[in-house]
Amino acid sequence: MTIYSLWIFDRHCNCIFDREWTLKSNQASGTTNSKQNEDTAKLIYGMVFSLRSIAQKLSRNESRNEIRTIATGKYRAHILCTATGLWFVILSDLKQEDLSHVLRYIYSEIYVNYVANNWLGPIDFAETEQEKRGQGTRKITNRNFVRGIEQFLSPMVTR
Amino acid sequence: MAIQTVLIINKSGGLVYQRDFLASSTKLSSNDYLILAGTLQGVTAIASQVTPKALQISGSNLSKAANETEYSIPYAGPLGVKDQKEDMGSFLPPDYFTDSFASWSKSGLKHVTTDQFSLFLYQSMTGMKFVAISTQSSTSNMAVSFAENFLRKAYCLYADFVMKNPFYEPEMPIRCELFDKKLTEFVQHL
Amino acid sequence: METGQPTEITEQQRAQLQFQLFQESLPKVSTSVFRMLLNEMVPLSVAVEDKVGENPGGQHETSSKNDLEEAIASNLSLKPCIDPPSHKLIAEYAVADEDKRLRIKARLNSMGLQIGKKLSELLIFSNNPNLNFKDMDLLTVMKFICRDVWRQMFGKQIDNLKTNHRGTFYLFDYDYRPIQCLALDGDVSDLELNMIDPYLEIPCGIIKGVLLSLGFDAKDQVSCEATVVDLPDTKTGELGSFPKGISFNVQVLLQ
Repeated sequence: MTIYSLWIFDRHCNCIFDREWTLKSNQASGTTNSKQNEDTAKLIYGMVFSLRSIAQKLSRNESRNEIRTIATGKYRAHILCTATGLWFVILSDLKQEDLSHVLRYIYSEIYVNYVANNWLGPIDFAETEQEKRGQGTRKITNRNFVRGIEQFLSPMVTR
Repeated sequence: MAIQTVLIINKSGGLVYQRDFLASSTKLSSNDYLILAGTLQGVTAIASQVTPKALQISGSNLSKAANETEYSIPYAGPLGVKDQKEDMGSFLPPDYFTDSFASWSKSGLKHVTTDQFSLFLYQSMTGMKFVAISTQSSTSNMAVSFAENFLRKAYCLYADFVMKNPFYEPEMPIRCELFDKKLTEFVQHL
Repeated sequence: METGQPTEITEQQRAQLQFQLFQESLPKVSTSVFRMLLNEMVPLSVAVEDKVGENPGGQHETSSKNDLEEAIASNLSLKPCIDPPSHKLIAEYAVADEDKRLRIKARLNSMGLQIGKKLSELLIFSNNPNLNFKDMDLLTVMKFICRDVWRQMFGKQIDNLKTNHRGTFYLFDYDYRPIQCLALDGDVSDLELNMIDPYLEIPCGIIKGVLLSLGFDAKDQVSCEATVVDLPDTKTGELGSFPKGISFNVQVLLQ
């Protein structure tokens, strides 16, 4: 089981957390909240956004038709969009057919506990008007969240 | 798995063919379909851009042979052809389709699943994109190779009945009755 | 209580059962929502302090009656006003001067005091068979706080109670619930402990309030303050728990 990276976007189109593992053999490798990943984050956001609007358009009935996975010849992206406008995206290898339970766990057990319940940190990361238009660079950095993600996802990187 | 819609997109992202096979499927305006085709073209390019670093690092170390097996698509059984003898008008014998084949699209978009449907995309070496939208949301790798086999045959039909049509102007919308007929037959026999 | 006679035991069991039934009949509140409300009291009191600071009460004294009316009218106008987000208010507390901090803490303390006074009634009227106030000494009351008050407020008991039997008590809570999910970046810093500080004020008020309502009500008889202590070795290192314990130091002057 291999996962390559985790991305979280808020409702202002900002990437508020990213974690990328660069070596399959080493679960401590890679970067967290890296500045170099800003462009990749924007590309992933654009890709999900476009396909999400296609899905919405092709919906057969009134109910929302949310996107779940995107696969290419090399990797698969798993997506969870919440009603509050958060997007959780995991990139994994093609053997992972469905990681929606993993995304759900990250949202319900890690994000809600350590970000929404943390009174010392923000819940809305965009503070200025500019940041609300996708220019934000603030990230989730609090130790509980970072450690929680690390503890939960690391075993899946090398397995 | 029922095929709802088949789209063909040319190498510059223009929609050249669109056909719904189910009466209940959504009615999008032709303009919407054009936008959809353009978006898919763009997303395919983006998708190869965001290939994870871990893969970029390990990918360069892999031998060529390993790469080839990784991207070969297994044969998924005779789809839609009632009789192996009845060929598809192709110069190739029917058993051409009983082998696994190499995929040309290595890092581009292949498969999208949503709550309601799956979208499969098969890219030819010349940059043509064949898109099938199925009414089932399935994330299994089986479904992907199945769909790729299906779309490869659609590509073959395209080569046989569109490319051999002397009145067809390349890159333009496809209006060939015979191709319509063969494709419908093929989808219905699936 | 512990008489050992069989009839007495069934009587005790009956009371237990009745109490349990009573507890189950009470309306239930989601613990997470309750904790949110409790936690939100801290930024609220910082916001109140900010607002009060803007219009100090003495401002109107020298002005004429007309001016006064105008001033009141302008204060009464319903301007849509949203406080800054909670984390900003708490960060504001951490850098505020000593005076302002004391005022904010006093406000939280008095809120806790009011809750404490009422909470003790609520816990005693329910005929909890585990409570025995026949010989009401200070130690019984402290045990009541450690066990019942804490369970009602935080869903757990105090982990350790130490006393010198002359009116000084140390109540150790190694898992003080309201702050468990609070965290800044990196390891625990002085700034973070500064921010935690006001969260300890409410239970201090509650302890005082309970003692007050149970008869320790002479002026300045009870004092309570909280300090941060290290966790015992057996408890450290768990994810999502605050890496420090809290000690509530209660001082009761005995007459």
